[in-house]
Amino acid sequence: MGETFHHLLLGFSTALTATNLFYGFLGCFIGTIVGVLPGVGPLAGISMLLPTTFGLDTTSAIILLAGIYYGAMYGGSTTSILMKIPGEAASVVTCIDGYAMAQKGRAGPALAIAAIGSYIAGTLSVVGLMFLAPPLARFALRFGPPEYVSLLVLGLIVLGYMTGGSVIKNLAMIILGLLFGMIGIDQMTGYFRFSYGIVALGDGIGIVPVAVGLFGIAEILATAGQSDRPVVMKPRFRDLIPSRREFKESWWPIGRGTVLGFLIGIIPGSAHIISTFVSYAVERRISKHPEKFGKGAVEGVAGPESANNAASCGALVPMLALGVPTGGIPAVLLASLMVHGINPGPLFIKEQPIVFWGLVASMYVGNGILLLLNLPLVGLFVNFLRIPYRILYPTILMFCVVGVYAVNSSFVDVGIMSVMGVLGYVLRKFEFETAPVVLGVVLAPIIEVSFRQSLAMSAGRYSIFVQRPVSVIFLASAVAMILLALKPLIWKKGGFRDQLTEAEKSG
Amino acid sequence: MTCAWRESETGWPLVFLPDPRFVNFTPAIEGPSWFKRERMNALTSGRDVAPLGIRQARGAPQDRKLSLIERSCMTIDRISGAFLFLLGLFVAWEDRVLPLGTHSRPGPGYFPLLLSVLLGILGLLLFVRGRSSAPLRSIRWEEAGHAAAILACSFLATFGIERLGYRITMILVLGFLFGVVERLKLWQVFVLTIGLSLGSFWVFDSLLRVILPRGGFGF
Repeated sequence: MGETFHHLLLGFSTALTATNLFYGFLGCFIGTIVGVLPGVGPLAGISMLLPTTFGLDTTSAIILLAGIYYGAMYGGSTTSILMKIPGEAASVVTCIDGYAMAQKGRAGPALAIAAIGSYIAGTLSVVGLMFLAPPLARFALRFGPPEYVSLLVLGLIVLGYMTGGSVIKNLAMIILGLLFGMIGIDQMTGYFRFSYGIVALGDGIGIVPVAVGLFGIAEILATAGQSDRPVVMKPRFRDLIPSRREFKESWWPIGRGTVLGFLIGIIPGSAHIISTFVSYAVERRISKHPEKFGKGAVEGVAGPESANNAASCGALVPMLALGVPTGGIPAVLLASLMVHGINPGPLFIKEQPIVFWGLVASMYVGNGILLLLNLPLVGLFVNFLRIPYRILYPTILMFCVVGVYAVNSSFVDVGIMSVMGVLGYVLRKFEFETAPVVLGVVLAPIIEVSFRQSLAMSAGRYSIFVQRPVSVIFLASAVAMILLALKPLIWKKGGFRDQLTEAEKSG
Repeated sequence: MTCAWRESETGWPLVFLPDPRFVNFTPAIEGPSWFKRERMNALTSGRDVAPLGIRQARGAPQDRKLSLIERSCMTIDRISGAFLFLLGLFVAWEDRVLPLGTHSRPGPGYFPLLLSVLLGILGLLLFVRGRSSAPLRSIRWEEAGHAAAILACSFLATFGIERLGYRITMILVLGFLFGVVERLKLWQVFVLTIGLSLGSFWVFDSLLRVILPRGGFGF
């Protein structure tokens, strides 16, 4: 415990320097805009802005990018409450009661409760991250290549199950991503694989062109030509402060949302979206007045908004402790660490205490900044919604090009982004989820090297994966997940996955 | 024709109901056989079915041959499954030039081959289970024209960024999108194109020191 606080003090001394405070503020500001604008998701936003961090030191870079991440989670609620349009998929549930409150003239309190809930959840879940990540990393130091393979297999199967849509399609997208990750020079033998004589492909396909193509360009292609945004509701911001009753009704949902969100956030897949559903369902189930839900219940805003912010923090636990990202956004954050020459994995916290504890401390500070940004400046952010889409999308395209080009100063990367844009557009039309592709690209080198090392260790015997206890637990969990995925074939009943699919489509 | 048409309460779909005056009747339904079958089913079950004209306008099959193909193969999942299966085969074929190695010392081709086999299996599964998925025709491509223009700009940026320089390429791309595709007013096109192209160059290149390419005349 004493050691943790000593490290935390070190983190605060890093995060509270003028430079890092500035980058934390900038990240939160950009993140809120990214969250507010329905056409730009946090994944595309972080990927586009990744090259701007190359000139920064590692701590400032990760503080900026993490600020964008949780800032987007904050900002997503604004459009949900004021326009009934989720800024990002995790805010779909907030639309229900948030918009109903706005229609009753309580938009201000709804925004305030969402911001306060997000602040509390964000801050408390950083405590969870702080206490959970270091011991998890110490435990993971015992992992050998077979354990890593089993863990990654489990993670990818859970991702396939927990992402909306067809499980088979999700698994196919993971495999496709892994295959993309095979392009380039083989790390163990130096062979060129699937590069067709293009020297620039020797380093493989980068995560930034893939992520920006699949999420930035594909989004523009799919939404271009749509009519301009509807008129934004004008809430009475002067009564932003919630009533005493609204405060009283929000405390417990915020607490429950925080715990649920953090725990669910650790699971791979669309955890931040799932956490909002679970939180909403729990609040409705235990409410004394369930009939109020859907008609402007403040609990329906407080719970899910807290949950999605806590989940975004929970998702950082496996990324920082194990070097295993659980979704597209942590994958890009991981890539940004790698760009700065840091090897993610169980040794990260031990070898880079300034980066890790600086990030943790900056998240405490960042949550405070976001509360200050979101309440008084909500009017400013709403103005971004008034930018017509026909002006917005060419601007997004420009940012995509500059962001991707700047990574390697290579036009090939811009070409890969364009091709990925087409692929993402077509995949959406054919009802495929594209986030698993991004994760596949990131995890491909780790899983391949671990797999080949495991086989080399066992002289080619696959039984090595079931001879080691930790590996067996992971694989047994993976099999259980596959059985769960097969359940709908026998027992057809709409579950949370149907709701999740709908949310991801509307997000 | 021994049947009566009646407007349903729900709006435009029409209910095909037998006229109560004719108990033993054989409905003479005009149209393709799939439409006749549906009408007959509607007759017995009493459910609403849209008339032929409306079904055809929504993209319903035009003849028996197409209907058969559409119902059995032309679904989103079946096409996707077939494509993934072929992609798996293609990767396996391309993988042949890479050394596979042995089980104890896997070569660079080992893991990709494993992945291609998995992709093929998943493609096959998707194909087999895809009969009940949405028909291919249900995919809407209304924004395809816009998308093609944006895509053309994206590829122009790809090939132009190093030859023409960032600023000229962006002026061309943004000018085309604002002026030709979105048909904004001339002064808006001018202000936005020049402002965004030069402004972004200044922010990224000069301020953030992200080196962006220059074209002819150092511009």
